Amino acid sequence: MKRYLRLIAAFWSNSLRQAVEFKTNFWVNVLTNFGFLISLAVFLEIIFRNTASVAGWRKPEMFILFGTYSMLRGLSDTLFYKNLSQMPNYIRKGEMDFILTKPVNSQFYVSLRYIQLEELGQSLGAVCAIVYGCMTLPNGLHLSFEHVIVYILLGIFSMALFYSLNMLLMTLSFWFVRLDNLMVLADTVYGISRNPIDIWGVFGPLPKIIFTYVLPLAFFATIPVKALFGAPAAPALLTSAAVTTVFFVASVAFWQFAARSYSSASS
Amino acid sequence: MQSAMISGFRAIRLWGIVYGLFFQDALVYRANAFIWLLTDTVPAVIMPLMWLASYDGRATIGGFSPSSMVVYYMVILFLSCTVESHIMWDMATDIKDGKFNSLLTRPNSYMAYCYAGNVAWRLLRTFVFVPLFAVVLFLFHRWVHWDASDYNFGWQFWLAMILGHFVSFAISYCLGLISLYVIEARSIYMFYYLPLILFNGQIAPLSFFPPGIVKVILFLPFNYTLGFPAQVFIKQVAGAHYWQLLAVQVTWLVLALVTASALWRGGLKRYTAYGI
Repeated sequence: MKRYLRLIAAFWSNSLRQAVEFKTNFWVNVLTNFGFLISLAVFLEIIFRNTASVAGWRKPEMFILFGTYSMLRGLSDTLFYKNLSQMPNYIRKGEMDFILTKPVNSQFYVSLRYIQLEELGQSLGAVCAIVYGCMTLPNGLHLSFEHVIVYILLGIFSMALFYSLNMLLMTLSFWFVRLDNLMVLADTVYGISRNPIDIWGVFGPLPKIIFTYVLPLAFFATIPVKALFGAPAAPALLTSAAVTTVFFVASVAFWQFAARSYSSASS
Repeated sequence: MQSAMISGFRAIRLWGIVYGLFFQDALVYRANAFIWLLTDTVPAVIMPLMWLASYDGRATIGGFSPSSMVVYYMVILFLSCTVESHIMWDMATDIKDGKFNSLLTRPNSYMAYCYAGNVAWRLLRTFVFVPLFAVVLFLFHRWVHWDASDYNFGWQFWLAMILGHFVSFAISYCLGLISLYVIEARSIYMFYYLPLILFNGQIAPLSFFPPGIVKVILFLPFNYTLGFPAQVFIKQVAGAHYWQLLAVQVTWLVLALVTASALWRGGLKRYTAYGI
């Protein structure tokens, strides 16, 4: 354990030295995220002139929902998403052979090798959205300390879940060399969680079940924000922990299966 | 006379070949086409869902029934897949990587070349789009009623749509030419996409915006790519108002083409053929 913490420290100080070069990307991320935020704000302004709630969601909750998802993405992309997106390159260039023979857990290595500070740019808009949402809470909505704790816990689970889903996806690169398309596709699909999963209720109960247990987008933002505003904590925490564990275990198993059946690209 | 005919035929054959090459190129990237389409489609599904989830038993919101709201976003989705041009990204890459040099020495117009590429992409996207659109329509089948009297499917719509296509192409072409002046033009494009998304009708029907802002939107070019044809389709624009807006649309098209030719002339003087 201690060895792994030391490794993380080394990885990060390494990345930090490189990060200075990528300041432009940071601002591009800030701008893109604010672009999303502005278009969302305009849409919410329009829709809430005409209605009091969208599938039970009020305006401040929607801003906090957007902020929660962007925060999840900002932190996840900083810590591991960009690492995982490197996987096809490792295999194409034959670097995977070296990674597999290193005396560390290979999944740990491919997941946490680099941090990408410029991705934190996404979280700037997220903070604004969350602060704005909290400042405009209507009467009858308030935040309690316990709910905030539950929200943060659910947020941590959702990061682990997001990690596991992407790990499952990127492990496919052992068999398919080109996955960049698949990642754009995944990004688009994840974007669904910027909006409440409850709106899918107009199609009946099935989409909500799918987005909870099959493609668990509901845990990214909808379920944490609902818990923040007083949805029962115990069932949320239990299902979130269970779904996250299942996907995490699956990602580890799939990685090990892939590494075992890997026949090397170079030798 | 005969020689004019022969050269005419030669031009057609030449453009046939250029076009064929583009189409083959585009076919190779059909997986990309599918994925980019999905990135358009997901928001187009989310927006009507948000509205549908807020009717709460009411018959209409701002004059839109649930059904007409869904149809509006379906039309916008259809238009954004068929009409909207994103050619500037390819142009910026061509110019930055030096492929532009070999294109410059060819005997045909660079603008026509870009347009052929654009149309090949649009056509391919339309092929990929049809099955996807069918799925989306099926998803919303409870709300999509084909009541012809509610919608204007006549020449006014098609004219606005075709002109919208040209407006979108001409503006994108201007943005692409900026690469002749600026090394990293691609970061500028974000400043185009934000107002585009806000004002081209993608967010909500124009009638939902406050009147003061509507005036600004009707003055800017963005509405004349997708928004205007969509408004014609749902019969929010008709009669004299139609001709007024059509005039603004044509004005923007002419302005964009004039700007493009100025940018082209000035750009070629500055362009130093990086990569030779």
